[in-house]
Amino acid sequence: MPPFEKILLKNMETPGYTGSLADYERGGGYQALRKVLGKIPPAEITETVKKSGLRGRGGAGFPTGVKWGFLPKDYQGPKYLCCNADESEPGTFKDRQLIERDPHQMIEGMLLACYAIGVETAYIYIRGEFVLGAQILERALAEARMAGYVGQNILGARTSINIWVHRGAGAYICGEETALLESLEGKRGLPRVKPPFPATHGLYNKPTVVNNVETLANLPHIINRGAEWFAAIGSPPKSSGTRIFCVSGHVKRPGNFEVPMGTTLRELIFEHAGGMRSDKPLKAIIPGGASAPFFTPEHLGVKLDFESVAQAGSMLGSGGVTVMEEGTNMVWAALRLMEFFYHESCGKCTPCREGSSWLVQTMRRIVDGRGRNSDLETLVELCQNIAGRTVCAFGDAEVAPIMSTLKYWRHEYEELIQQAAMSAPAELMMPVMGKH
Amino acid sequence: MGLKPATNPEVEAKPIELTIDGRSVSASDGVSLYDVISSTGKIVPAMCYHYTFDPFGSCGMCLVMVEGKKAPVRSCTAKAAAGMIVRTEGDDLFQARKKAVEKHLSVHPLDCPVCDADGHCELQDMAFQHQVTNLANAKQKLIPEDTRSLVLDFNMNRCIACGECINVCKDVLMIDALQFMKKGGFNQVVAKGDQPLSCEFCGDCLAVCPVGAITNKFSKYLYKPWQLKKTTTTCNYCGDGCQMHVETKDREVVRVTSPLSWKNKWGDRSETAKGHGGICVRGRFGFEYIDSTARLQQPLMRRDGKLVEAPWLEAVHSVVDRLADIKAKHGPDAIAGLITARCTNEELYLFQKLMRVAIGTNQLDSSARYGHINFVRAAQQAVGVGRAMNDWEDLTKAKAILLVGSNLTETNPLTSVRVKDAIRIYKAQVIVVDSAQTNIARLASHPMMVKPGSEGVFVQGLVKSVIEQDLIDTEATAKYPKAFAVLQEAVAKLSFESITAATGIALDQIHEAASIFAEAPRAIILCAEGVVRRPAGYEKILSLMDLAWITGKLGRPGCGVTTVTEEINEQGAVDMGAAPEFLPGQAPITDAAARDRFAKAWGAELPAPEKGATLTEILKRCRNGQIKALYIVGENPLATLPKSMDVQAALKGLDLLVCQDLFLTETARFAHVVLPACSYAEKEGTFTNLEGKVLRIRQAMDPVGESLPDWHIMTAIASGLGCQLDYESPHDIQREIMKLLPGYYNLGQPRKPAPDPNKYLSNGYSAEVKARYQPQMEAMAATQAAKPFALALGQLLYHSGKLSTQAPGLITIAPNTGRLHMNAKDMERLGLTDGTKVRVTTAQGKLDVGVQADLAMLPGSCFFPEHFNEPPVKDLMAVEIDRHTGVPYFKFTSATIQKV
Repeated sequence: MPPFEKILLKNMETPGYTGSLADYERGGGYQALRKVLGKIPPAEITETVKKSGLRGRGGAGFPTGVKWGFLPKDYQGPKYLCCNADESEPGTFKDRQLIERDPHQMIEGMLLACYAIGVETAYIYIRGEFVLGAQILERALAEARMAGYVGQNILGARTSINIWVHRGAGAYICGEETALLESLEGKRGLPRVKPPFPATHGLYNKPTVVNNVETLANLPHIINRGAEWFAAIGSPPKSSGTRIFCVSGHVKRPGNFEVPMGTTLRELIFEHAGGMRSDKPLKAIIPGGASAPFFTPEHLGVKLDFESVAQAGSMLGSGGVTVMEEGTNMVWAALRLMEFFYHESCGKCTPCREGSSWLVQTMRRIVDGRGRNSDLETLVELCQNIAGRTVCAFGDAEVAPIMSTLKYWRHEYEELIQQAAMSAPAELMMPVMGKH
Repeated sequence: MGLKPATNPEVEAKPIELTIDGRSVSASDGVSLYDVISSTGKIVPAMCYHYTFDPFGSCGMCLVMVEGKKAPVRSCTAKAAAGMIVRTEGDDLFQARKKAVEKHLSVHPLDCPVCDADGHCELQDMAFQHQVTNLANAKQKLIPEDTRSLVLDFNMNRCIACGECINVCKDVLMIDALQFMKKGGFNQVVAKGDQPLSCEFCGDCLAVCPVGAITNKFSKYLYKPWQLKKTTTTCNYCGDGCQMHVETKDREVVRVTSPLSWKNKWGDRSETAKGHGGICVRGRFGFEYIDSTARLQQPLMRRDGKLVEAPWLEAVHSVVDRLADIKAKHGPDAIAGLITARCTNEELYLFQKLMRVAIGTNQLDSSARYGHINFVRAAQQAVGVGRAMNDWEDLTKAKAILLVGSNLTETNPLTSVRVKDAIRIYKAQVIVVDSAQTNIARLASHPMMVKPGSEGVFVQGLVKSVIEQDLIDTEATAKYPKAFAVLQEAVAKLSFESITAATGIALDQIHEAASIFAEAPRAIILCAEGVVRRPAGYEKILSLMDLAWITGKLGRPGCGVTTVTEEINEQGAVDMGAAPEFLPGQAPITDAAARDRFAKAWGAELPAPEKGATLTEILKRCRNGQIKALYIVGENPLATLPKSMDVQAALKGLDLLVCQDLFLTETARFAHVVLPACSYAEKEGTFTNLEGKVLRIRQAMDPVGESLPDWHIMTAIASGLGCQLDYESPHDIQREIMKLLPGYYNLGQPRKPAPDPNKYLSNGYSAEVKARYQPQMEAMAATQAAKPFALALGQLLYHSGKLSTQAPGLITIAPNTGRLHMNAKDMERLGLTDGTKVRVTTAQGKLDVGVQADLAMLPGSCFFPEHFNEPPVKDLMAVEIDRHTGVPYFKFTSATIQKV
């Protein structure tokens, strides 16, 4: 097998690469834009993207070209593109690197997307905490404007594309596309009911495409090197291209690793990330950000592509791979994640809002050694009544840590409860009215 | 958000079949599954759902099983699709819903014993229905109550965050005053930006709150819902005539509630085109005048120059004797009468019968004379139908609405919700022609901020533009080629330069407005106080009729020329003949056949038509001694008309002034006899609203003190004058009206009149159209140069006439600031700040008054609410009397303003 050639991280791993416009152009930057602008009809670009098999890198993995195709044809009036740079999934930090180290790559991607779908105004919704990222993007956009890549009549063509950076205010939920749009409109970021989808009723009720940073960053390469080239990488036909995996946790070399899709977890953890930190055995893996159900060492052979991970009972999600070694308290780990979700529940839907607080209460009780025998049943019941009962996918995500730890490490929960029963005094029962 | 096909008249929804609990049901493709289920009569519990807005999908209660899906789905956000097999019942669903209720209960304090909603609470109902018996998770959130708002208290401990209040405010009312905010770890509803609530205070949020989280400041802790007697009746403030529930305990009105409530959350969204069931701030919080201590308890008679209490028998005898005496000495035309349009149809009918038959005079008028009569007369003249041509549904479903001279949100709040619906759901283009930045102008697609007083010129511009841009409906104009030729000729004399100069609107904007209106398939003109109560109102309405005619909008379904009324029964007052020019049914008093008919029915001779007198003529005849006795029912001309009308002199010269009212008004202080009347909550009857719907009012409580319903008093007086009437209740009067005006009572359905311009366009049109299109811009420019400020009197959202100033709730929200509202830039230019005194000088005199900045004011204009006479800004107004209709115009004048 020939050595794998990185696509997205290639520029920034070149020694001396600063991410400036000059550096980017030196490496062939903005050639894709020059290639298509006014020369290739927009519809053809959408076709190319469809053919390349590019799927969304934000979490859901929806085919990008198909998403573009949902915009109403011949729509009169403004349409929008939003780049979702609100990377806030615990354990995920790939977009941050793409933004900070090679901003022009994603800007060119956005320009190509705008051209393909006929958008004149695009927004980068960037996570509030990414102060440096926002500064870098602003600087890069200023450079691009000066060079005539962004603004009125770009590169002298009739196309005008303006890109604006909008900083979020620190809510996890604003990474959900409709909450992102609400927030961008200046409202509290609450997810909208779908349908209608953003493709028809998006920003200010106008047709809108929301794409992840990594998705957009792939576009210049697809245009430059062709759909067939891209489609052949990774594990075609369903999962083409590369993914940047963010490996964190108990490994020797945490960081971002761009590998072709279909690479096994074993290879990612033991070759790229250098193996376990203190050479203890591996205990648990979250394969796709905090919302993805846990994997066990048995799953090391799972190929990291959309289908294989889903088949094994988790999801590829945002590419955040968190590794935990033997000795980790899984109940505590699940509680920690649950606390995050409780804190970030936007509060719109009752099952999630009240359910998450209830789950945290119950989990904390168990971890603190005050657990009751009925608590495990309560946890399951609560989880079952959150998943699928909420407006957005947050509800499904937040129960993943508990449901999967209960599946693989139920004995840890039981031990904690048992210890509690032996050591703690009999608890005062709350009054219960009528028949229970 | 996305339109439901069912509410979009542009989209033919595909009919589909699906199965619900084994029954085949037909529905429209793509509508909410929940709506389809509830349309079959099945009720699936849902706590965040209300049919008036888009599904919010947050409560997790409305779960159903759809075949092919493993887990239950939320039916409100699911779309109905062909062939769906749905199950709404079953133990699994019951348990799942129970879990959802438990979650709602887990953040509720269970302080039911002290909660206003106890017994009227969806959370209680749901907990009971789902047998939630484990209350161990109830939580005290210990959030301090937010009492900063003037009318509502927010107890967020009880809030279940269903979002109904936020959604109704945002989606239905387009006010958007509320939001969620995470405070102290809990999701709470707060006013925008966590400021004290400052909004239209319609209270619809209170109505849809399923628990006791939002409470009414005026009735908090005063009742348990089951102790209240609930009477469905019609609001008596503005012409909208909203249905509402007056809830009373003994002799006290505790609260007023609306048909819109979480209790009736199931309905057909498209039906909201006829009204969403909400009421406005006046209806909901302006009820306290009913049991006010200021109400008259006993008749009063003047003895030794003082008004003292007297028994009814004595008071009525005195009135009757003195009326009979004056009639005998000076003839029937020494007596005149005025009545308020807040009386019922029955009372208005009886009033004119009393005046015309028992007394024998045609000197009678109602408060419709202040403006609405202009519309009635113009519409009668042009199309033979003396009332608004469109109902709320037409307005909601219009594609273009031309709103001329109307601060609709403030004068008729619920009609404005229809316009908002037209904007929001039906994507109507709304052209607002006004000289203030009103709420509706801000929502409109085409706000045309004309120079003060130039609405009429703008309308002429539209007519000219339609003709010159060739936007005419040739079918409509071809029928009357002569009339059209005259109009063309008249319009040709006007120049666009002078029109744009006078209105301050660019020509292309006039052209755009004209083409939007002309090209819309359903287009409505709505004119209001800025037209009917300002000089040449009658003629301006006729010009609007011209516009409707040449664009083919007369007689076409969903199109027309419409108005709104300020008092509830202005339309009824005209319909009942409480005007010198009309017999009941708007039959002209000069019409021999009609006179015969009524004379026969009443068994009496009718007074000669030419001796009739309108309001201002009556006052003039009082002043010159022709009229000796004046009978005033609920009217208050002294407080309403400017000083220059010299009402006081007119009243002082009378031998007998009888005032029949709820309160001792300014006018009543001059009376010889004051008779205490009942409010609308203490009597039965009907009102006719601006749509022409006849709406019932029902007695909610016993009369206050010894007050009596107006019809009762009038029957007694008529009988005393020898005109024996044997009405025992308003129903007897109703029966008589039904006989005389068949079809008038029509079970609350608006009657669709068929406008027919034939008579008008074939006859007198040519003669008068020339006069109407005279250029008047020079005169306007001259006044503007001499007196650069336009001073207008008008209504506030929180008040209606003078009546609402007796309601402490409304005074709390909008007290009399005594200040002139001005544009902030003007204030800056003149070196004024809030509260600075200025001297306002008009042709009628000058007055020193404080000023306040008002965002709605455009530069060069200022405003004072007509509800208040302190300071007496109204006395600065000149009165101009319409030569056609006798309407006194005194709401608008030019003034100079200087810093004192």
